[in-house]
Amino acid sequence: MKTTTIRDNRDDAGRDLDARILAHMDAQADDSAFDRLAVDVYAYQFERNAPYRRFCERLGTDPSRASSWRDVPAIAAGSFGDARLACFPPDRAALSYVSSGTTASGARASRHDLDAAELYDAALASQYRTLVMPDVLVLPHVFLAPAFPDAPTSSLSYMLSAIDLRFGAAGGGFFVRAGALDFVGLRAALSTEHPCVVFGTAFSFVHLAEQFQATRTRWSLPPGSRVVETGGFKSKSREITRDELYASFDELLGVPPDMCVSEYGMCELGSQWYDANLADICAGRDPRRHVKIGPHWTRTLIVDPVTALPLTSGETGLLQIFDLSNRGSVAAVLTGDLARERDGGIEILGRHPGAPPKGCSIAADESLRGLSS
Amino acid sequence: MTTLSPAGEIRAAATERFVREWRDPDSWVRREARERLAGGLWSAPVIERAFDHVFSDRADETPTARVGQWFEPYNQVARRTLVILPGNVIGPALCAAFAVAVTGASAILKAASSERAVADIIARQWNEIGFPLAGAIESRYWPGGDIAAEGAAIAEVDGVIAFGSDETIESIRGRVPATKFFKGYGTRHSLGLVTEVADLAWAAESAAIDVSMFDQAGCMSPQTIYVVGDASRALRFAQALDGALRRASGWLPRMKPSKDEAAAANDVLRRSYVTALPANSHGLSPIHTGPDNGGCPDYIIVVEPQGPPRTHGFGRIVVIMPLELGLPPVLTKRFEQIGCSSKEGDEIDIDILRALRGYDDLNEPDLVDLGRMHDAAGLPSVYDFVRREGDVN
Repeated sequence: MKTTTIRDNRDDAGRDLDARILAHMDAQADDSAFDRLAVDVYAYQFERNAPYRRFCERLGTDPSRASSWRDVPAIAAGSFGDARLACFPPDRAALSYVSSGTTASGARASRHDLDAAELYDAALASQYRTLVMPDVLVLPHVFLAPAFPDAPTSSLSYMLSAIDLRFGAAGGGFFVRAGALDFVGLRAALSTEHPCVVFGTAFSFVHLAEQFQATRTRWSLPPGSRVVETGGFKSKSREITRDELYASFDELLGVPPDMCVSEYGMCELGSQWYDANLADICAGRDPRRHVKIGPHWTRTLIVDPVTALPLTSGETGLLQIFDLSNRGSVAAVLTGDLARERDGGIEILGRHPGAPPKGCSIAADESLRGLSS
Repeated sequence: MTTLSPAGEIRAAATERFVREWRDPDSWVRREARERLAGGLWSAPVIERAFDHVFSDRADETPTARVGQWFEPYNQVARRTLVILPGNVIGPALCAAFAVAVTGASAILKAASSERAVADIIARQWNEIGFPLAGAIESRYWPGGDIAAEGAAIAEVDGVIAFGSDETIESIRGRVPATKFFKGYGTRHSLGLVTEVADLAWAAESAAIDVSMFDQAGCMSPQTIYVVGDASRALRFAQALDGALRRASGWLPRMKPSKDEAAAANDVLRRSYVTALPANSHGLSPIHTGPDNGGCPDYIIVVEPQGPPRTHGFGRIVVIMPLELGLPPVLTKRFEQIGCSSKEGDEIDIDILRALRGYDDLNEPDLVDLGRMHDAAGLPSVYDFVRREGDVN
């Protein structure tokens, strides 16, 4: 599968705004230009996205009071599971991403509709080039995830298919089929003499490691190979620390930690964040480890989990993102993830715990936690 | 009038004393429980009310009637049972003990780390009461994940009753031999219902009690309250509930929430700005919040369009929805209990129940009065403590 055709269902206003955002992506304009564009995107969304407008009105604000991206009300990521947050009617959705609900309470599956893929494609390609492939044009990509046609509501599968289209080379492919890892195919793909990229969820890497350990298999991928991991560290079978996971990349695949990066993204956002270390190495800088870099068409704030007010630099709080590539939904999103600013980027520290366990479950759930640890 | 055997009479008298002491605010068990639970999950008035109401006052549930019903015919098949208790409500430890008393069974009560007092006090109380209750309850505690301690307890009993999430229940079930009885009380939720003839002010005062007791964390708490009628009636009920919860916070105050809980409550509030009914629909607000308590509102009331229930399960968060008959059923799974406000003597329209249940199983779930949702003859059930044919794991 090398091609994915996504319809372009934008109206003129959406297309015009996207053109300005794409120009900003290319030009890396200054903060004032970003603010002007951010406020225009806010006005566009306020006008067309009824649930978001209701949200803003209940906060007592509207675009006439905004002069900066910081003035744009951030909607809770969980709200993508509560309402359809789109600036166009459902029949104009060209892509519909659905994720499993992972919010702290009252979780429902998040849904994120796009009326075209142009912004999304441009955003992911630029970031991937900058932070994963700064030194090489194409590489075989081995994906531990299903291809987009097999998972047509998965934002991850769409992203990987787009990456394969733009950055892939012969010898790679998608190695999750019918919900299971294709170990036979993987063995063949990893028996390569050329550098490659292995990209998968932490969950899939845990399974891969278990299989390799069971069969006493080790790989030594050629120098220049790299690993991209996404999706956190809590698997359904057992929990694994980040250090354990990265040690397994070195031990089982022969890819050193500095050539491994973690991706941060979500169904509700069009842009992605990647660890800085690989790009730093390629640029001859000291690698910043576990520091994620976002694209210049985004801005981040760290806010107090209780008050949602901005914290000072270095403090830990909830990550709030303004992402211009979310033109068709809501650009300002308050995530449920804890983070802090560090070394010119952000460090993701896991999900906010939310409310303590309740509902007649405290006693016995303690025993489950004990088991898992 | 229940006639008991001599052994039954002694047991009924002992059980009567057990119940009476827990109902008496001046008894030593209540005084000690008050002291040991202070500063925990619940405020003192909530604890007092929980003890006042944990035993049903229905005539057919008096100790004498229950001993006649259970001990006389079933004492030969009463089990020794391990009960893994929840920590978010007070009732199950006392309800389990009541079941043990009226059946002639015995039990190990495994306490939660967040509430280790009540089971311990019951065990000592029974030793003080003496025969035939002395020694029938043993209170134990072990930290989560201590499989050796859990296994040792399981080896000593004929059956296991566990409270927890569905995932946890299945985990424990897997460690109980198939030859032993197992009963899991997994993830459960309850609803409120305000019928078309109910007085809204009265219903709101009643619902405020159910919401305030255990701060919506219990499986008997009304997570979503359906108000039969259109959106305007739901909005009027929300307004009445706002006043009732404000008053209830005076006599059933909520403890200060943790920072994590405050953050989660504020997340719900932010999300309610999207989910609530449009603000201008009837001139009444669809969102009501209580005064600040630890960084978040003391309570949150959100009126949403008719749909499946919301189950936040913490923080005195209530979702209210209109229930207009003729629209598709709103439930897709069983709910534990419906707390209903109607008029005395009124039969509840079968179409309402059918809409709420989402299917035609009209025996489930239980119907109780709003305001008494936490007073229902509690869990675990007396049935769980006697052997019946085919009731193994």
